Amino acid sequence: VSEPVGAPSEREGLAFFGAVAASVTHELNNVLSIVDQVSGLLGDLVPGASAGGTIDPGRLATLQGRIDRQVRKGIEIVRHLNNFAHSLDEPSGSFDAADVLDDLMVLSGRFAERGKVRLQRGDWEEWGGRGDAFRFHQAAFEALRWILAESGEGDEIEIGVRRDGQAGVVSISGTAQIPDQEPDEVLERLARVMRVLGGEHRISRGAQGGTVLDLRFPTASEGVPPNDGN
Amino acid sequence: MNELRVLLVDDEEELVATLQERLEIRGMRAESATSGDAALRMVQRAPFDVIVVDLKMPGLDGTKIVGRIREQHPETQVILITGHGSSHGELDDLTDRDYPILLKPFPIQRLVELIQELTSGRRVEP
Repeated sequence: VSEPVGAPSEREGLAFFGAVAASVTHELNNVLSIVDQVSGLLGDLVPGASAGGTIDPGRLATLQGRIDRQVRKGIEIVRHLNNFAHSLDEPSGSFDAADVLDDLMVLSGRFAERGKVRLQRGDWEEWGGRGDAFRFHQAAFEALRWILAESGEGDEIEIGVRRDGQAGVVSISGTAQIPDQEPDEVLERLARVMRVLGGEHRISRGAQGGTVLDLRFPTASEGVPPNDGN
Repeated sequence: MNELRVLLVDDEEELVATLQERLEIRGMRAESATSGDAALRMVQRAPFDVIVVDLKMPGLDGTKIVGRIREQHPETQVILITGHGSSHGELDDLTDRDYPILLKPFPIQRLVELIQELTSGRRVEP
């Protein structure tokens, strides 16, 4: 199937997939590292106990708690990664926009943490998108990345999803004041993805002088023709 | 006993807390910090023989922390750790490779060996 003129390239899609995978790998390496070290610490304590010493029950409970928290964190990351990976399954199906953004917030958390930017949920209405869920992921990711790049320590970014008449809107608003500028590489890529999804993006000034990036999509109920870009 | 003083710096609090206990069991004096700023404050109070620092952290990342600490204490040895999934390519861009890098997860024995190698002449007392 041929790509529409101006559609995002396969390489751009792969680059997005790679960026998410790298971030998640990093997170999972941290999880495994903690489980590995706590397991090792328990092993360190065994010889003393075997020789007739005791292990403080409180210490054991602390170590068990560390393992438990990391295992749960790992399960959560893998669940969202699995959802994300399956977004490639049906390029012309339908998807729950809020669920997709939920995955994105978890999988992109590391990018925000690194910049000491607080990522939080705003409005969270469910609506059904139709088309390519992977490209929907990519659009939201590019929009988030654009605002993150201009944000710094202490800034906040709110991701919201709502219905607006016949459209579904993903709104990413940051406290950083981003000056008007020519579209950069990220915005140009975002525009290409939005075109394929039959939507558009709009940048505006927020109430506190911050920046709002709205992504407007057709909703499933409108019978939007499936994307044929892939 | 001449204990080695080791500072562990990583934003994963449970990792540095656990590593701290494991190094102490092995006869070292270990302390930990979960941010670059906290690490710099600790180094100002007293120098460390070795700092073990995560490359990627919120705020001050590993290479910046190392640069500032080495300005004050050029004798301090450095080990970088990272959850980055590769030892090639991008890692080379992240550091000039003046310092050894351990990829997470790593065995405690490898960390201990590196600390001992870097501080040879001031080896850990048994």
